[in-house]
Amino acid sequence: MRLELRRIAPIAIIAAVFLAIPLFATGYQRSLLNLYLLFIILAISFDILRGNTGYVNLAHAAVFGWSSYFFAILVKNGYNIFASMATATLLSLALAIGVGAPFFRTRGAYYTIITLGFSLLSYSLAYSLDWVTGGWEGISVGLGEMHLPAFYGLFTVTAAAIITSRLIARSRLGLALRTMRENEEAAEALGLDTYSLKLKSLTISSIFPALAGPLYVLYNSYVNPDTVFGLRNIFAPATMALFGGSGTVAGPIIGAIIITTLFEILFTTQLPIRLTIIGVILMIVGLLMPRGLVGIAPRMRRRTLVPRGLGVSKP
Amino acid sequence: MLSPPALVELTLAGLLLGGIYSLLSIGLTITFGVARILNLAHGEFMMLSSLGVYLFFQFTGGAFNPFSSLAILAPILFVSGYLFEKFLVRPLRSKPVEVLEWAPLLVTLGVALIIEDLAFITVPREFGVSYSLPPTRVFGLTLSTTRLTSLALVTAVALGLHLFLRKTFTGKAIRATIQDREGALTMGINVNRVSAITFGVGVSLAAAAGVFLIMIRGVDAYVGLPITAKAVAIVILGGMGSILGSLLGAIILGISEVYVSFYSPAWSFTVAWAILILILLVRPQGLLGKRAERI
Repeated sequence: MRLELRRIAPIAIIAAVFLAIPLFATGYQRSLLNLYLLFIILAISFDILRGNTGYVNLAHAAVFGWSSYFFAILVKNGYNIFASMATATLLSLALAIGVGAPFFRTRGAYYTIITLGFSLLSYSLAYSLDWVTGGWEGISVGLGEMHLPAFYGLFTVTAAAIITSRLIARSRLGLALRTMRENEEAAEALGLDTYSLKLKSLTISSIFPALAGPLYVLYNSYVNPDTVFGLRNIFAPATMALFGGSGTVAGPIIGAIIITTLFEILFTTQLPIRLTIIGVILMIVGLLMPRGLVGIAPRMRRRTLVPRGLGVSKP
Repeated sequence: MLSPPALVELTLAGLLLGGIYSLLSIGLTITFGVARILNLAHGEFMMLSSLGVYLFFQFTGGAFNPFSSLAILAPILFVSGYLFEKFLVRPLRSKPVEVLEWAPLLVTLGVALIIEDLAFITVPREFGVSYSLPPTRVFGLTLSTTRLTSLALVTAVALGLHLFLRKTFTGKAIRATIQDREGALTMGINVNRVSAITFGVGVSLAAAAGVFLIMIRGVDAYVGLPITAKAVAIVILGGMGSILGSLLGAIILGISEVYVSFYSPAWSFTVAWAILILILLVRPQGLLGKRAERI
């Protein structure tokens, strides 16, 4: 890919401005910024798998949650923060691949339901293993105010996730994955090793939740089963990516920003019908917006197999 | 170690819980079977039925026999299930395959959240009915008559469903549609109507589960999603779309949950999910399921 100064400059300026914001923000604003970054990361990692391969994986919440828990437990026991971060990331990544690989024996809705099962198992396991996880009470990590370091960490991970998502879209790997998405048997007939392709995309997409877990604990300084394995973390990234537009680089980011804003408004105002509002949005996305917001705006390009202009449209 | 009377009591409790789970998960599995759509709002209908029992019981000052409320609740929920299929599931089914993998989850989850919210606005606390029959004594054991009656009724409902699916034309049409939707269509079965009836039956089974559940424990507005998750676990465990598999899975889960929670309540759900994941790693298609296929 050729780097053009004209295209890089605006992005660099936006990034620089964004990096400077938290220096002037209050504690609440900083934690809100962190929440936005966290959900952008989770939505992109969901969509790296779903957008390229079609597999709807709801186990990213489990990877994120275990990474948070491993970090909190290690730090609580007095280990070095950076060492704990690296260990937690690697352990949860190993867990994601070790447990996640056999799930690829299933396809379609079965895969979705089994990965949902893994997240729900993680949730109840976090309650049951109360001598290490603290059960209902969770773990408080006494690290003091860490909003700023967490922000720069999350920002780096977000940037890495966006760049990865874009690189995959343009690479041979992305092309192979989308071939598999369209027709798995045909992809195999073409000589593609579909199992190894699935493992590769699972690994790439799990790196980001695994990295985000410790950073989340850093700014929240507390974990319990509800905050990391709760239904919100299981379903929100999927909803954000699909609402924004799955299979595009911009879609998950737009979806994450809009829906996080909505969550924040609904849960800070304590509106009595907030669940109803979320429910109605879920129904609208599922019934009326199969391509998300990006699909409504025709100018945005989808990651299609065939370049535009060749006149080939999907049936 | 358990004493024999405690063992009998626990087994009875386990069978009853397993029976309630089996009504719920058989309802879920037949609706999944005909529509190939997983209904995450299934448990909400059970919660609504419990809520109905509670409201009847409150308004009549406890004079109302909770068991007989099933006669009123089952038809109401049958109609709800019928309409649910007609206005939500049917439009979803016409979507392309890549949308069908995620849209039903979001839509039914949305319905679940709306129902939970409205139920919480109606009764914003845990609710239960204080109804029990005098205990029964057999062979020197003291057993709860309420539980025995519940167990008998659960069995009766399950048998009734079995006969309905085996002997009646509609029942056979439902099974044919579960086996092969297109095949059923070519045999002249109106699959849309069969789907709607199946959702009606499935939701009525959830209603029955709700009536028996509120007799043994308190229920609140947010019980639906966790119990749907359990029903989903049972359905996968038994094999998606397999009725006998769901029955088997529900009994295994009910009994193991009761035994495990006798020693440590926190572990009951974890053990259930762990059993599920282990079985699925060995048999991805579930206990009695056919080979997993693309849907």
